[in-house]
Amino acid sequence: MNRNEKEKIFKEEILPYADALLTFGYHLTLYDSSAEDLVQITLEKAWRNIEKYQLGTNAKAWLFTIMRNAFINDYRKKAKQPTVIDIDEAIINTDEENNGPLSSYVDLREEMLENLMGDEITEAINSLAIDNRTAILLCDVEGFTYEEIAKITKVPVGTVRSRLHRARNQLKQKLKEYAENLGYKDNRTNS
Amino acid sequence: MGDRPIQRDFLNQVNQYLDKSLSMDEEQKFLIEMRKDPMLKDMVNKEQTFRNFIKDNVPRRKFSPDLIEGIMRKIDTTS
Repeated sequence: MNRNEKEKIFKEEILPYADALLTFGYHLTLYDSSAEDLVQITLEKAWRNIEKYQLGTNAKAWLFTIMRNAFINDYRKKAKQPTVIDIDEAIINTDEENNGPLSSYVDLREEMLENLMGDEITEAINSLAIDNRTAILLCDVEGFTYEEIAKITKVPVGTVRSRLHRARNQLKQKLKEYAENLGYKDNRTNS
Repeated sequence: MGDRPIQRDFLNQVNQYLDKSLSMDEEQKFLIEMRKDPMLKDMVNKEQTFRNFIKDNVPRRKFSPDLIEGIMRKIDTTS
């Protein structure tokens, strides 16, 4: 592949995802400037490995995989960030094998969402443990399938499902609290 | 939501349906089930609303043209 071909692929297939990478990078690092650094690292790695990218395949999933690896291997090591794990994940994973009633389903009323702003949603998402945050961003914001998320995050599909379940529930709970702070009261009885 | 406790399998089906992870057969069965069960339909609607809300309201970052230019310059010098 000559340089012109590489540049064409990079400009047409890779750069269009820079904004999506920046949004994901922000939610990984929690800082705008760190997110920009992470996108830069990701795009440089993509450029160096562009010959491994197969035209017409899922460039977005390829880039998100590079970014997630870069975050773990480069950024987090440099920033010396401790790994924050969700201690409930083990419980949820075990629980997934059962098919009993759910003790943790949060039923959020539509009206509760009406007055919430982007900042509150960002804050609520950023408060989730990194693995759950990653799952909800990749699925609900970026539209990846369970299988793609499993590949990007290198975990089994069942783990993706349980992380999503947990992330959505925690997010609903947070948003419910924000809505209640804004004066919304859920007057339903537990029916 | 309704009187019956929510079963994990029930919620899993809703999530897999909305996340487009059911096979065609499973999806057909699910749609038939949903037509018969108002509670299931109600739950699907609520979960869909929540997903739409998240998708539409997470602020999107915009990568500045200057940064793109910087990256292209760096690539030029390193390759």
